[in-house]
Amino acid sequence: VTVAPAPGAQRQLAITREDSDALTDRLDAYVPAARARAALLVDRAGQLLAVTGTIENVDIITFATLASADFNANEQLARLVGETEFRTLLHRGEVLSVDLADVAGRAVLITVFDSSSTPGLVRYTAEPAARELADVLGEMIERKPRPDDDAHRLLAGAEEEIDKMFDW
Amino acid sequence: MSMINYASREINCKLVYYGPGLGGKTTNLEYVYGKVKPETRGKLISLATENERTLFFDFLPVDLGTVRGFRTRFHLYTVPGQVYYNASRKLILKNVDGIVFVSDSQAERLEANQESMQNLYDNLGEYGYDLTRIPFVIQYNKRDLPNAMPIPELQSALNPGWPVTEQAKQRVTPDPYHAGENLVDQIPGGQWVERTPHFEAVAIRGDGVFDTLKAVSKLVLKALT
Repeated sequence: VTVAPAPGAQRQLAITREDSDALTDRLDAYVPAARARAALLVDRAGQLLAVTGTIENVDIITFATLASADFNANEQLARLVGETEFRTLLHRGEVLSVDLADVAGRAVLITVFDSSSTPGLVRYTAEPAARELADVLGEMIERKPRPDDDAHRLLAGAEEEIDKMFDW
Repeated sequence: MSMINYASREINCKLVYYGPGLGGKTTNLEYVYGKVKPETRGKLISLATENERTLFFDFLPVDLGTVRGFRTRFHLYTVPGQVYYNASRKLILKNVDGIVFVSDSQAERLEANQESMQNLYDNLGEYGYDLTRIPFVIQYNKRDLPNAMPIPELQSALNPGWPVTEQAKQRVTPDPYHAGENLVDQIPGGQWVERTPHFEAVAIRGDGVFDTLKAVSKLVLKALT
């Protein structure tokens, strides 16, 4: 079966190779400065935007989604007590700890660290890193779509291919 | 908000299964999880209470194939259906790309279905989204139960159609999933209305689960074309 295109669409975020490199470069600089094991940048809907470092045996997509939901819930908690936001959230474990920090209300910077670092060092280095990431994200979101990163152009005429994709 | 990553050649979209409590939203995800190849899906995460009621959400990432060389990854979420978990429901709807409304076909759950549908409209409205402009399908679940309402009655109550004011859209559009039915139609009195696609299901044994998922996923991708 074929269906007509749906009416209207939500906004899309297009990440070009340059965007991806720019975000990863910031994380690459941040991770050693924070003495962290890994850092992830996740949008508020839980989609992974960039990652540096590794966390063994962890499904990174699920981790990103849960962390984002965690941070969103944290924001609601803040509002309940009359704050606009709690800017950070720390989970301390025996071996690994996780710090979550707001990136201009658009994303969450997630830092995974062990005893090689401290919550203070992570906080101290995460703030400027979050500002830099916010600048890159801001440019990505505000810029007008270019021909090579316009989803409509990418998928234009792809209706048949989409129909076939679900022919199972 | 769908995300197209040209670096990793991925299209990521967010689908939310909404509906009244105990309607079968989690069951839909569990069935999908059990049936798709392990290499095309991630873990099924359930943030549930000790008696297995959804507390925050369930989450399952699945790859449904490639289009134009881009891998399409759908993040499936459920919301908690119980009335008092509205804050959680609203959070999960943020940046949604497509919605499946899982209704419980049992006659005694009609009011709960209608309340949940209204709640969906209201919560989307708070984000400035319009349900009539988002890829959206309805699943009538539990069709195997003896007290399941007839589909026409459920359609009248939950999917009566919204007015089509745009002249270009005022043309009969057949429902590709139900022969002889139309998604856009003129009702007696002359008004044009549009209904959303609907599917019958018995999610616990998988009937209709993939038909629903495929339909909403297709609508989401076509909304990008």
